[in-house]
Amino acid sequence: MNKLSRLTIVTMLAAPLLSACSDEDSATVEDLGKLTPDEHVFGQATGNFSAEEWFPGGELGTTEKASYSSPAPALASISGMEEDFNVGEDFFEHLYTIDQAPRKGLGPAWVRSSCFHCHPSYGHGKRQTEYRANTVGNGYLLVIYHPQEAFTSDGVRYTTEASGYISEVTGMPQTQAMQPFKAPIDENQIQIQWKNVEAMPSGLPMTFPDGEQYALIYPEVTIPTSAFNTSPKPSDYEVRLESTIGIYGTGLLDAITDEDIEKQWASEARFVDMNPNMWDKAAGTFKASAYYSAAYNNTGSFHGDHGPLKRFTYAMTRGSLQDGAGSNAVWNITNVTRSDRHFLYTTPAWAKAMSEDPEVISYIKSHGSSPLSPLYPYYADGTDEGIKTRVNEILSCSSVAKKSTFDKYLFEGAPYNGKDEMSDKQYYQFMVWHRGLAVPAARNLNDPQVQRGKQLFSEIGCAQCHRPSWTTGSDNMWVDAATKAYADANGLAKDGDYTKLLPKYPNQTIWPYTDMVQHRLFMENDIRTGWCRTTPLWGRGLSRRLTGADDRLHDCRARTVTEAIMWHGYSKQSQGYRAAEKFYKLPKEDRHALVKFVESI
Amino acid sequence: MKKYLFLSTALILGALTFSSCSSDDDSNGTPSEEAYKNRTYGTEAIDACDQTVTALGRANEAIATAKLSDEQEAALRQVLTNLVNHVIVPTYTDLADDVEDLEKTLNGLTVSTITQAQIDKACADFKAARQHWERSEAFLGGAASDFSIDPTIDSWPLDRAELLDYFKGGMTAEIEDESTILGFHALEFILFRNGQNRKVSELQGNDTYKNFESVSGADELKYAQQVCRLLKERCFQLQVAWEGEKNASRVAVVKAAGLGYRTVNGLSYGENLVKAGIADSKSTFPSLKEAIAQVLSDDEGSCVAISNEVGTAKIANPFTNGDIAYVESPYSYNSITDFQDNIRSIRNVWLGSLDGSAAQGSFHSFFAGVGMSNVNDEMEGAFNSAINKIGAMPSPFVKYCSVIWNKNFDDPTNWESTSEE
Repeated sequence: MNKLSRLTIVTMLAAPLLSACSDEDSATVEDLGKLTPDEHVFGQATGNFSAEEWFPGGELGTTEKASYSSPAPALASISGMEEDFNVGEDFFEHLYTIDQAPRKGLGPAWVRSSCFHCHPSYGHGKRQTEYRANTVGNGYLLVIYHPQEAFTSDGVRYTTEASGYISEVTGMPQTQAMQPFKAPIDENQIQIQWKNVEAMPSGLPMTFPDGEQYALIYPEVTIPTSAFNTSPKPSDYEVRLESTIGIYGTGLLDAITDEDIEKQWASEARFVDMNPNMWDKAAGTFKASAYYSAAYNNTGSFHGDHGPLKRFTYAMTRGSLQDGAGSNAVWNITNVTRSDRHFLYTTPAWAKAMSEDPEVISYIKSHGSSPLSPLYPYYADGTDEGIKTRVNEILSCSSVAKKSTFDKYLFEGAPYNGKDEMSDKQYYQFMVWHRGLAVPAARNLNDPQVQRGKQLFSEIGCAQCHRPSWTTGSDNMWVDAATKAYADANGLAKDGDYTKLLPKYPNQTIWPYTDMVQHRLFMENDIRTGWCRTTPLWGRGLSRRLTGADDRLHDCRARTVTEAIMWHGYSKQSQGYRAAEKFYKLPKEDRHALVKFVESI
Repeated sequence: MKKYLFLSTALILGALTFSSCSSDDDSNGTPSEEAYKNRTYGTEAIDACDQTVTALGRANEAIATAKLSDEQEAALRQVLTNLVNHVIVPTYTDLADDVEDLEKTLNGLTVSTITQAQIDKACADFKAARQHWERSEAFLGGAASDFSIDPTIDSWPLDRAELLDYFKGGMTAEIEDESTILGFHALEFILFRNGQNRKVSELQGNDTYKNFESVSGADELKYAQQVCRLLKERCFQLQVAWEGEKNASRVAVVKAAGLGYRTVNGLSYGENLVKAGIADSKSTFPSLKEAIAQVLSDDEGSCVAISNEVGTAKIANPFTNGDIAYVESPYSYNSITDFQDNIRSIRNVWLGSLDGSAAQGSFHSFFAGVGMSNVNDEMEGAFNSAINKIGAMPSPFVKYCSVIWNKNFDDPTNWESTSEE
């Protein structure tokens, strides 16, 4: 992006006109008077906002543009990084295909055919009334699990931490597959029904005291057993939806230190329950399970005896952006092979079902004999039995433990011939883009209504969980093997410091409005286990303008900020109940001020 | 043809330059074989796009940093009104009309009696529609973006493997949302090869394209008819979304297809833009200046965005990075015209017209009115230069990139990227 200093503009405005040779000006021009410089409020302290609050991503992580796709200023400090950012962006912005580099992947099963399908205009997913993998804007992942139920004191059913995912399909279930394979789930059979809340169990009325009404809706999702193309088919399960959130700013969240997040958990643990899978209540520290490790890389030894703190996704399942949600998604959503992931995102139950399907076998038999065909690896000796065995062998390569089988039968032979679909350099460029996305600057902070909103946000307790500000650490992040391999091959980190290859955000004061803690709101048909990381609020106010929608909460059930807030008050046991109750009791103009604040930060 | 003489700023071009305001000629004769090896043309085209980005950024900043008088604000609102009424809606209407024509042409074809004249008519209809689409890409912000229309009708490369699967599977799969085998480039593959219109003999028999030898022309035609119907629905959607419910029959088609056409707040996209910043108008733009930024210089869906995309992706990905599969419009050899039309869409936005002349109530007349003709000179110099420099690249673009990288577009073993190295 081209940046222009304000000085240049002032000079332009003041400069004598260059001689214009356009011919019509003198005859037809309507004199509108000269442009004069506007009062400069951006970046200045105003009311109860400090100057730095205009820059939610700090100096290195904020764009002054109203944009979710801008490169952060941190990129400018490293020569050539903007070019890598642009190439990396392309992996996000365009469709993946089965056999055309550089966006090549998809087989044998996939969740979406591009990143932007789930992140429309780089933003939050949009509320859907049906589940279609090919609808751009459908940011939903299906969450299918065995429910272990419990109830709040006011009778809201929820599912506990013991509610594990079903094992027949992948954690992010696929509804698309390369012919002749059948998608693990037939999406035509998925039903999404939107239901109305008639009354909240907490007793908070659905009309504000001044008469203004609000409405709450929530999804009920069902998938019949017949929709599963697996063997065996799952039983005793229920389904929820989890939507994408924006991508910008994740590099900044990664730069907050584990220790600072632990302090935040410790301070809140004195007052509220914490997720027992993450927090050791007796010791007042994170449990070992709160730190990330993966069988296919060395994240687990990043801090000697433990890995980086899990901090990404609603369920806080991934730590280090280099092996975070985006790093994972560009591999498993579009099903792209790369050097650090020589296995498939599949399940043995799907492999078995496909290998036992006569239609699959006969199609491969008649179309898989050419070494140019993507079905060639499954063709084996061309007999029914040979194809059946090979299909099962390949499709069940569902973990790094099966790497040798994956390499032998799928990767080394035709048509892949030992070439990863995403090269180390391409993955590096993708991560430069991912880590380098800036947070948009705050807006309207000089507006007295927004300033009033800020005051209320703090007074009624929103800021207790939506913690306004953090200061990042030195940002010496874990670096993945693909980036290191690319650096080594090109002599880019001879001193052993690979972190300098990626955008870094050291010592930045940032304003994400999250405490990086999981809370439970106990909403109807709530998220699996109920525990959900407080979602950052920065930049969300631009969503309507930049993406055409502003759906909120984990399954897009809230259509406005007000609805999102009132969902916090559904159950009296909700950790956000008190704040929601106070919001409910605010005069109308104060509610609107608070909403305007949330839309400005 | 009116000639503009402009004095550019030293920052931009640093030279006295002549440029044509409406150079519509793409043809630069038959290039010599040497020309295909010369990287200067591509580099200059990329640089000219970058200069257009810079000029647009300056123009927007001039407005963004100014304290606008009531008169200036009214003039800018008129710029937006004219932009909607005289550029955006007419462009989408022309696009919808031409795709409708193409659909009629395609639906009138029967393989057994097909004539070359009929195929040529379909190809001409395609190119006419294509021009309007490319000339709309400076205003992808709004309906095209909110309804994700761009990936639905203009994604490339065409996924030939998936298309082949579709034919082999007996054409029974639902293709409504399969973006990788829909849209202009799917139609292009059926209608054109190697820059030529397809031949009667091919459509009456089987395809001769590698791996497609078992696919019949009759099936390809049937597929093209389906793709065109879906394309038409999306083009109607764009027209209706911008102009509101003025064309009842097209509104009905859009509704029947289950497609949205209003903003999240219930306005038409035309209203949403011109009512920017007006209290209680339901516009998603909180201020006039933010609407101007969306038109001129926002990261996505603006004039800057398309100029950036032409320079840093559409040209640079194949030309600079060797991703030959990235070449847009490779079957019809229309790439260079497409790129130029993208820049002409910026010209149309700036001048508030479709014919290359500056309209009253345009960005041009605004900057003339505030005594900043230097902004006009820089802007118009930049987009004219970009149109010319793009047109100076040896055609077809797919051959230019293939020669530069010594790779054959049609050879699957060469569908590789040098950015991997």
